[in-house]
Amino acid sequence: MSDPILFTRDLWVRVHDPNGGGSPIAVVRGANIELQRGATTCLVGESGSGKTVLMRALLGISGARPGVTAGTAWARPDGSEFPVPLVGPRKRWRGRALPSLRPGWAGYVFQHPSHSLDPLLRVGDQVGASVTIAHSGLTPAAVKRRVLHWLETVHLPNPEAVAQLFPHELSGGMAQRVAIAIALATEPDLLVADEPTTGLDWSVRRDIVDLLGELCRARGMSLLLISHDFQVVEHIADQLYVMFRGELVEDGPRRAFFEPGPGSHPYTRELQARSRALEEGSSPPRLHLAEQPTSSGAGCVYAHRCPWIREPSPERSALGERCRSVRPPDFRPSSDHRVRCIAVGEPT
Amino acid sequence: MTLSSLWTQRHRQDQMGPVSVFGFGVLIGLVGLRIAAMFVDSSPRLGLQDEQLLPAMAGPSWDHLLGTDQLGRDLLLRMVDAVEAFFLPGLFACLVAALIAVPTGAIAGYWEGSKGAAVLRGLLTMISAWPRLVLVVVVVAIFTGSVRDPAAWAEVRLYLLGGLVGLSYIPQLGGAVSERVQHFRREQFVEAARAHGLSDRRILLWHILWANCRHLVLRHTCTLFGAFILVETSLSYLGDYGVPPPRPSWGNILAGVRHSVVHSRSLMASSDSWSPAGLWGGVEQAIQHGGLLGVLAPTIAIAVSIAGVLALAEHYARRDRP
Amino acid sequence: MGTRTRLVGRHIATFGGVVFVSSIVFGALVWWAPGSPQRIDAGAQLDQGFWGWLLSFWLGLIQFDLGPSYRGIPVDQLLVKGAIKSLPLIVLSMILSVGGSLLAVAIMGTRASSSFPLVRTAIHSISLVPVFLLGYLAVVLFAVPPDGVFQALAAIAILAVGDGMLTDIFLGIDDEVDQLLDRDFVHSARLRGVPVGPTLARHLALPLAQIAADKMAYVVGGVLVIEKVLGIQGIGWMGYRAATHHDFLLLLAITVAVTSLVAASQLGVDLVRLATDPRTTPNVSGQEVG
Ligand code: SF4
Repeated sequence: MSDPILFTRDLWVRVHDPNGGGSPIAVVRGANIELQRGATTCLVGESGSGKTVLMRALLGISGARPGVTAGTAWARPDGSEFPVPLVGPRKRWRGRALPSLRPGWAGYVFQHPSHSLDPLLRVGDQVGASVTIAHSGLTPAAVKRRVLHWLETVHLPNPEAVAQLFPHELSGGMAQRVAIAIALATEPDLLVADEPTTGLDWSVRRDIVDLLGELCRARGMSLLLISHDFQVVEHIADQLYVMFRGELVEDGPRRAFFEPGPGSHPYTRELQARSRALEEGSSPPRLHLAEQPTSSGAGCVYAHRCPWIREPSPERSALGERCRSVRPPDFRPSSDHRVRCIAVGEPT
Repeated sequence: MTLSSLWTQRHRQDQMGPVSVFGFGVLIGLVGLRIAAMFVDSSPRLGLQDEQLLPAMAGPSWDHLLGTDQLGRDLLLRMVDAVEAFFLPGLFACLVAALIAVPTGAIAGYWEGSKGAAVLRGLLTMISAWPRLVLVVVVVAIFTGSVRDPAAWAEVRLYLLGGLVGLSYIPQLGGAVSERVQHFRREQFVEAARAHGLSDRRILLWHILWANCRHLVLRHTCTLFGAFILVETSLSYLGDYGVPPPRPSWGNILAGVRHSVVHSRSLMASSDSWSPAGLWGGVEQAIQHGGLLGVLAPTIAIAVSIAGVLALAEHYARRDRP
Repeated sequence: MGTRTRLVGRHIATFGGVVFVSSIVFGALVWWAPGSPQRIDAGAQLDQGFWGWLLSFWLGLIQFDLGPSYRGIPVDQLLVKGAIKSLPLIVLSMILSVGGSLLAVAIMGTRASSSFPLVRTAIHSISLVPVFLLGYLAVVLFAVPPDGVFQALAAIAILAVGDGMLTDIFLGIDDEVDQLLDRDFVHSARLRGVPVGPTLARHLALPLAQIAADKMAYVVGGVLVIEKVLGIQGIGWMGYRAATHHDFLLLLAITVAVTSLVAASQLGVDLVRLATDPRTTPNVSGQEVG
């Protein structure tokens, strides 16, 4: 069953302070992630948890500053394995992001469509650039035909006219569709969508997620959806990873998260409670931000916010000490479900 | 960013980096020199009477740490005294720029789109098309050209210089302030503050200008001070429009030594002047003539002062990130 | 298309307004300057009054016949003679500074302070030295000849570096490239394997022009100084001499010329932006798609 298209072993990403000086901060700590072929994987966590940094470092498009990585990653676009070259701290000016792989092997849909489209180029030319990557040597007319095909595929009305527009003339939802078309036009095996709905109106959010799910199913493409919202991922996720402060605290198949079962991580529960609250329109539960996380790295990453040590039940009275000092072991409720929490692992 | 890294970042920003230390060091040094200049015997300014006893272009000695200049005046004393030429006029330049540019920029930014703002913006655009040095030379030439005794008007001329440099900086500072005010104007909190019954004046003065433009203005003021040092020393070096000669300025100290150094330099055969030997010969000549310190001291003083003031600007720029 | 023409018109009007009002301001300064009417007397008719005199100045400017300077040489001839010497200095030093900075950024990468602290410190400290000092050192230490190609080259190099020119341009370009490389559409192009070069060129052209145009006024000031120091008889040298000799007509002509040069460089950037950036013209074609 396991046929990953991209997987990592103990991947670390450290970021240098932009002002220089100081030791690098680890924003991703020892991530093991597996993206199955043709499946939809979701990476969930609040903003700042390192989700984006992880995927960008993997694809070699981490911005100017983040750098030093350790660990290994492999891509298996067609069954044979390629090591993914990890970005060093000072590597810039490289022509291509993933030199050993087919260009356009992976596509990326960014959070803000207004940033990911080149403002000086017409939409048609931008999609056309992707088309020529996938098929070199096409005549202009053939390129144009394919451009229109891709614009149609993402359900844009009147593709002929849209192709003539500049990005600033598009609405947010249209722009995100164009961005998806640009990513699709290289015919990638893997599509990464980084909070593709956050910058959009509520009314079009659902459409975009549905479109992504539909496209991937139809083309047998793998999809990685990054989101902070369980509600968004609920109806398309096959596999989920939950990230908090750079650590993957829980992962498992869909049923482990959306069906009643043996425990899930307290952070997962918090996120789910927030999504539910937002959906119902009530205000989400308040965060307890008073405590600073311990910087030593020992103990559970969630310990400073975990409700289970904040309001310990009688059975869990001794939990707090251990959570702060011992690194929680991985607990496996089932063979494909993993939770990194002491309390979940020790049913009372 | 996680909370902890945000916290460490904030913490790091408030610390004094080497740049800030250098900037404040130079600032303290300049203030110290300015105070010292008040006590320095200013006889070199009055003419040459008793100074002529010293040998001209002498090398350093214990009595005269930096040696003497081409007329036998103590170089160190003149270097210290020269701080007077730019210190207060430079502050005057900052005052002029700040007093005009901050209100102008604030009005143009806050009531963006109104007729008045358009006129102010037009004025800023126009002033920005006047090259600073050209403006200064033209106006100073016109106003002080007919004055018979330049020394008597030196002080007035320096402040005129300060006013003009300040004026020429207005577009930069005004533009920066108006951009910042606009930025906050578009934020929600102005509407919120209005809804709470705060007056426009109070929002503008307190919540926008004081709370969010302070560092911006300080930063530009420091840059302007550096620009004034540049203009004053440049003009004093060129003669005519800067500090009139018996009175010292780092610029005219250099100009004074120039003649003897260039003279000794031109004694060398010009054919080998581009070879290393020729170069070294020039330097050697300069050392022998004692002119080297006369060249080095003002050069280093000018470069270090400007660098220090700009470092201070950088210090405020780092604090400024809104 | 109509909106675009109107915007072009507005920019040109701004340019004209700047030059026009500047000439009034400087004209008034010259007219009421102590001792000036006697000097001007030689060339112009005093009985016209200020506005008449200014009008004849404008007419002269347009017809390129400003009459003689008080020394007898026609002002426009002097202007052309000076411009031939000064314009190459301005343009070439600009190109040198921008090109050098681009090269440095391309070689070292942006924000490379950690890897090349020495180079950056060197750029900063040389650039801190004022133009007049660099000129002085060039004369004293390097014995730059008083005429010829070497002198022009030295002047260009000094202008490109001194008065903080190189630092400002270098930091400006560094910042621009740094931000550009971190834009999502550049990442997107790199990931897809679309050549990044054309994208960078397209997006850098305008900021580079803007940085250069913003520096124009400073270079003109630098030209004044370096021409005086090295004795190059260009516009700046003439202007300085005109000021000391109270040749106010020449001075006014030079001031207006220089102001138009600076304003024209801004106008150029505005027009190029209008021509190349689709965002500057309001959305007209978008509505039919909706
Ligand atoms: S290990 Fe402890 S602190 Fe961490 S999530 Fe589990 S109970 Fe909470």
